[in-house]
Amino acid sequence: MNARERLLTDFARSKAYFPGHLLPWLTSLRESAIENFAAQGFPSPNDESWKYTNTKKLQQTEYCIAQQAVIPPIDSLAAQIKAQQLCPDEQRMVFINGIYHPELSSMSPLPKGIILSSFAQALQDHPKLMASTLGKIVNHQAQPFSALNSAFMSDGLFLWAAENSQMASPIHCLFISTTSAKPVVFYPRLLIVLKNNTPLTLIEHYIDLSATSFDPDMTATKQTAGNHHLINTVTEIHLGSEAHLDHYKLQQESLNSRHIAAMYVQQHRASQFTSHSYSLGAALARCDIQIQLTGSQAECTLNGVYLVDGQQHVDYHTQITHLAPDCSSQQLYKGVIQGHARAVFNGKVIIHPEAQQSNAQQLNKNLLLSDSGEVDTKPELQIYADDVICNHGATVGQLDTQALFYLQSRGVSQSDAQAWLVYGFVSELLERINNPLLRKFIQLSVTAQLNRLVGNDACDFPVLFPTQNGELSCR
Amino acid sequence: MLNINNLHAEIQGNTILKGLNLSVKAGEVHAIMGPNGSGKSTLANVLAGHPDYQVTAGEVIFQGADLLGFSVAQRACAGLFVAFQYPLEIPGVSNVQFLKLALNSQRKYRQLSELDALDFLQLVKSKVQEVGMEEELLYRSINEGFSGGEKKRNEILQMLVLEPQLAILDETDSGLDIDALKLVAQGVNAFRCDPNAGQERGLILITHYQRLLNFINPDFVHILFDGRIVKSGGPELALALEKNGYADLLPKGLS
Repeated sequence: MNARERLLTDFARSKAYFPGHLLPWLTSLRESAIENFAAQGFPSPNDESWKYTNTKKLQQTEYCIAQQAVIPPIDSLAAQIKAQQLCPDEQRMVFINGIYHPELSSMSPLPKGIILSSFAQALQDHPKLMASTLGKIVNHQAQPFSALNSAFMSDGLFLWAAENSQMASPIHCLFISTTSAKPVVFYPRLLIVLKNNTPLTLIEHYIDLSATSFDPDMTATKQTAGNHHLINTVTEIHLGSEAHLDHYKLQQESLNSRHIAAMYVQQHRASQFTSHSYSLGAALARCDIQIQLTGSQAECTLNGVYLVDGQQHVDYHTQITHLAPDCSSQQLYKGVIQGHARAVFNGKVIIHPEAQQSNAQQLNKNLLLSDSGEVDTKPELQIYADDVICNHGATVGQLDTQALFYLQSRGVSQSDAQAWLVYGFVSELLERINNPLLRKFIQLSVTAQLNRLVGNDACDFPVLFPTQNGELSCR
Repeated sequence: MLNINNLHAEIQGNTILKGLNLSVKAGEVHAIMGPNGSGKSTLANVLAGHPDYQVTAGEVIFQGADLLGFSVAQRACAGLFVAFQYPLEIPGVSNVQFLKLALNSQRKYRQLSELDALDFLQLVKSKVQEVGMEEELLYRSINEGFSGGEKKRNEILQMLVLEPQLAILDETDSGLDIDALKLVAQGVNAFRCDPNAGQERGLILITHYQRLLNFINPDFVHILFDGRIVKSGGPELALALEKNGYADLLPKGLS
């Protein structure tokens, strides 16, 4: 039985047990999604968008569905979860192997107009709201992994913000994978609907916890073997007029895990979407980000950092479709590649004829630290309007030997000089994180990973904090 | 303090230094002048250990040790400082944090305790005033978007913070207006005559112009030509040069 057949059998066996299996609209969504997957199968290297990312090993692994995974004693997790706190005022939703655990989460009363709930709970409490949006902007026809997620999704996040509602505290979705005897797959689903004029901050955070790979001081992945699992996650974001979402994603899974993620965003008039995506862990990390600018004056900004070493493989595929006039899209992705790691970036921008006065900027910069690493970067612009400003660029470079010399000429050791230059390469993106606590947490994760990449002793590399306010803070 | 014997060096196969000899004692100020292409900056870069330059013969003894056997960072830690002619811009690396890293790297090398953030800031702020630099520049990336004069002041700031035993200033005066030049010269003089320094400091000024030497009086002036020092003398040599150019001073048939 091949992987495709195995999944079809799994679906047939489990469909009566999925959350919301009594909801006809949901059942038909699942059925149609699995049919879409069956028709496509897994992507092959002949598919243009999977040319550089091979899913063969993923297909060869017999993943079982998450419910069978062993959940370690909850008590032993509580302290470790506390260490993952980003901001004291956050709404923290904790998911163990894809399933929401309220007893591990930390939620405070919600402001009027906000619904924040686990996905499974929301299917019971708010089926009508979900039926009107769930799956509407997800591409099942050309994204087989998204189709699989829609077929198998069982838990995740439902966030609904009514018009003009306000919530200052960030929402932190912490997805924890734990040790298991067998490889496990889970399918988190996040559905986010912000109605007109609502600002919000959301963090998707993926980590591993297990007796062997957990590092109490540091949240980043370790070089030790971790859990074998596959996360196939889909995030759907609907932004009403003048809605504003700051979306963060911090992926720090163990080096045996595979992470397949898709994010679909639809933006109405004058809405703003900012993505900060940090891909540090996992053997394979694939992120598809598809954004539709359907209302005029909508703006999206995509910031991405990937830091890979060893045999890691990271792949960002972005697609921004300008459908209305006066919209802007800005993309800046920076990657550092060490060892035999490989990075793929494909940035597609499509400007439709009615999208006059579009402004689309795209830049992908890569720093290659080894001779055996590889980068495949490709910008793709399709422009059907005549009054637009579009720029794109892609670079692959090495550490500047002149800069290395300059730093060393002041007494800085070679490994410190390397670490600082690499940090300098990505720090521009860290500075774009407005929330100082969030920035600090992500900086710690980034510097820990950078130290590993340059082979530096972590203790010798000062953690840097922004100095724009004249503050000077080194560990 | 510094003894350079028969130094030969090349870059990309081109021999630039062809048997250079120079001796600098503690407390002395040496000026090196010479036409473009004579090897002045090459000398500075070779002493600092720039990887583009290869030493093909000769030796450099600094404070009794074989300088050429040291790594770039070790040379700095041993007390050698070069203020570069064209200081590099390094985006994304904070100027002040780099300074702190450099100072503490050197202190660690010398087995001194590292300075904490507060003590360091106090030190660096007092030095910033000495060179007349805008404090705001501390919090920018290293030299990024600095004017030519600001870059040169930043080099001098690094020198004052790092307190080397021997400083080589490679055309630090070029690109400075007269007020900036005075300030920088004041800073350099303060550095030379620092009563807290354990040993008198040495200074090598690489320059094209007498102007700088009005403010920092050299003990010796050397003329470098075609990779060798062809003439040495006192301050009067620089004055003669300013008046008559190199033609009269160089060996016959060379200019």
